[in-house]
Amino acid sequence: MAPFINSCIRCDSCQKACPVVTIEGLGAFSGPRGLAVDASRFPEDAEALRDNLYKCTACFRCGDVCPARLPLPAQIMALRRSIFAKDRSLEGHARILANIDKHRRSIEPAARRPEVKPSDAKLLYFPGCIAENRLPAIYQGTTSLLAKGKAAFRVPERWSCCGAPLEKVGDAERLRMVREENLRFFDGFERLVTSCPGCTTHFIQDYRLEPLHTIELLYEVVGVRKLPALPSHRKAKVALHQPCHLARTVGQHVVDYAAEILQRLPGVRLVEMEEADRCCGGGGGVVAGHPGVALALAKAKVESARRAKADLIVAPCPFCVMNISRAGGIEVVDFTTFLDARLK
Amino acid sequence: MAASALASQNNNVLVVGKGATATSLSTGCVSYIRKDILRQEKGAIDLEALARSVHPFHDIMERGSLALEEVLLQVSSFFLRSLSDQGLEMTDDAFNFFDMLTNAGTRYACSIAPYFTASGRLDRVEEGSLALLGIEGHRDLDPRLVASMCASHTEGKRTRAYWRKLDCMGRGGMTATEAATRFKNGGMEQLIKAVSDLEEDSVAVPPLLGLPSVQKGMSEICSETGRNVFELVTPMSLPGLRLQEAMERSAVGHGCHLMKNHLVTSLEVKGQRVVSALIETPTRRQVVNFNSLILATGDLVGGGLGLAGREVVDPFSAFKVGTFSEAEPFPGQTKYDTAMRQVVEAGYLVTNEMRLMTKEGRPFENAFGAGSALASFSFPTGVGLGGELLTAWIAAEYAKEGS
Repeated sequence: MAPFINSCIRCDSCQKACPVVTIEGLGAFSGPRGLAVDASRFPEDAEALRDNLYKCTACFRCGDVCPARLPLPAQIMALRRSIFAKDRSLEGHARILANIDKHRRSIEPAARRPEVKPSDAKLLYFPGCIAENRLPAIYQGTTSLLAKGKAAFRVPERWSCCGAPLEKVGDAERLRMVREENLRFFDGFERLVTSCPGCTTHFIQDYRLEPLHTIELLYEVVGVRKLPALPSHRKAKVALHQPCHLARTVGQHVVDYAAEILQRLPGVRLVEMEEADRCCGGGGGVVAGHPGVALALAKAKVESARRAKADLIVAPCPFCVMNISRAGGIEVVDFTTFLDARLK
Repeated sequence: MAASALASQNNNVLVVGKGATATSLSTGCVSYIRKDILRQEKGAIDLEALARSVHPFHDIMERGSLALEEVLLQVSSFFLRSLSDQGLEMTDDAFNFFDMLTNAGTRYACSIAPYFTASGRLDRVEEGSLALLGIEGHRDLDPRLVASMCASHTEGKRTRAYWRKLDCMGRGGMTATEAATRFKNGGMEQLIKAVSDLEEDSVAVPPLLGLPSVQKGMSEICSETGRNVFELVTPMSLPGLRLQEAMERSAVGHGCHLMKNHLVTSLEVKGQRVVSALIETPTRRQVVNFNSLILATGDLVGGGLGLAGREVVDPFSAFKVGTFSEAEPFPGQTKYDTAMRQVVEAGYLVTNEMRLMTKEGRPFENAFGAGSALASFSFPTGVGLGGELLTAWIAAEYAKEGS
């Protein structure tokens, strides 16, 4: 711990870059340095920071701007693990844990879920909790695009939540449980693709797998740029939101792929949105734990898009689509849904 | 800067970076010039004196094949034009005493700064008519501290400190970016009223406006209040972030491809050429081949160089690191100060053409260094970015030969 703390040069870069500090103010939120560096000096008192700790959206921006390259987000997650106790969880987090225990999903399952057909295809599509149960258009759009690109795929007949929400809550025990289950359920695949950048990141960092995000698969493998576009769809000025896990952990190249694909679509004009890579508030368990903070960040995102005179926001992440939509005021569409509607 | 310059000449440029740049941590001003080396004519800069005062690059230039005066004019012209295209109008007005005012108690002297910061506006300050307006909760300008600094340096110039609360700012302390976000919610009207209520003709305020709105916003405040309103430059604050944003946008505008949040973790060296780089995100790895490489990775504090014991080292284990000369102790300097200087001034050693060198001292054919990663060019507080820009420009000039 000591080298970590002593390496901070107190330049304030992380505090300035933190989207939650910008929204909440340093009076209501200690910021990355306050949590990861200062609070780490007194781990026995971390419990007192419970509210503060769960306001972090795990957007990774602090870690990216840190000149000392301190793993600030990982340190905040470590503090969350250190104070985790189910009976003391925030209300929204307790619901996540209950859903995991009961359904192996982080959210209440939808009454009707997409039918899964048995297949021996070696490409495994992992839709994730949101695409399966809240935004089925993402599931449909993705499977439709894979079919258009003639990519044989299958969805696992059984799967559990990837565990990313459990990591954000700090529940290491359940996290281990879902990981072991999924590794059993996934047996016999050559390539794994996910709709959610949070799942992609979690499979890489926690499972040590090598999944692709849908956009990577569509661009690098399926060759989606060669698929014919529908001719006369309505014209749209599109603001491309850059999800944190996609732009900062998977890599900026995926966002570049997305922009390139969108720019090729007839009638689509990409508009530059101020701070397109600023967190929308959808991650880190903040929607469940501190919905007010998540909503304020979503509203800021919508305001940015409106200032850019966009007709709609395209977001390549189910969590982002869901959270930004809560703010209202502009149409928010998932990337695959948007793309599928415009390709033959 | 190097990327913009290369891309503007139709070279294919990839910029890979992670962390906070020296620019974003700076005051947003460019060069450091001592008052006594400027000519008396307003706006005219004695280029040779500038070179002598800023960095040891006058020595590099004399030994190199590029003419100093010509290069400095090229650099400043390209730089000012690039930023102007992004809505950041800069001035090359001569140094003014008030540039030294910051709440951090540091001495800043900016020859090239945004028009609306101290460099551009304080020359209009009438004697005894300056108000220092602090905004409650905004940490970047403590007016009382600045006023006391003024009192100890000014001769007869009266300054008054004011604290004002803007409702849009809410409660508690805030960072510069946070203040700028809050300011969007009705802050302009409130600030105009606060400034209008003051008696002074000139009013210094903390930076409150981001790049998209700063030019228009500052003009509006001036015209609505009839006062000479300007920002005080402060380190690690909005002006530096704005400059960084403007430079990034300029690079993209010239056709550069940016890979932000990516880290170059190793380089492949063959003989005296660097042929490829391994680039990593937390989850992906990629090898990139290139014809020329410019290493502008920042100094020790900025994370571009490593430290092994007391030795400053090259994290790629490929290039020669050291100082240009043994640090001579200043009068009154302790042994600790001298040792510290040697560490702070250590960096990549380069040739006159900014070519990096092998550990044995042989110049690389296609690898160049630029900015605060170079020996003697690190970015201690109070020294502007002029030297960084100049070395980047020279590196780009020679790098394009192989690109």
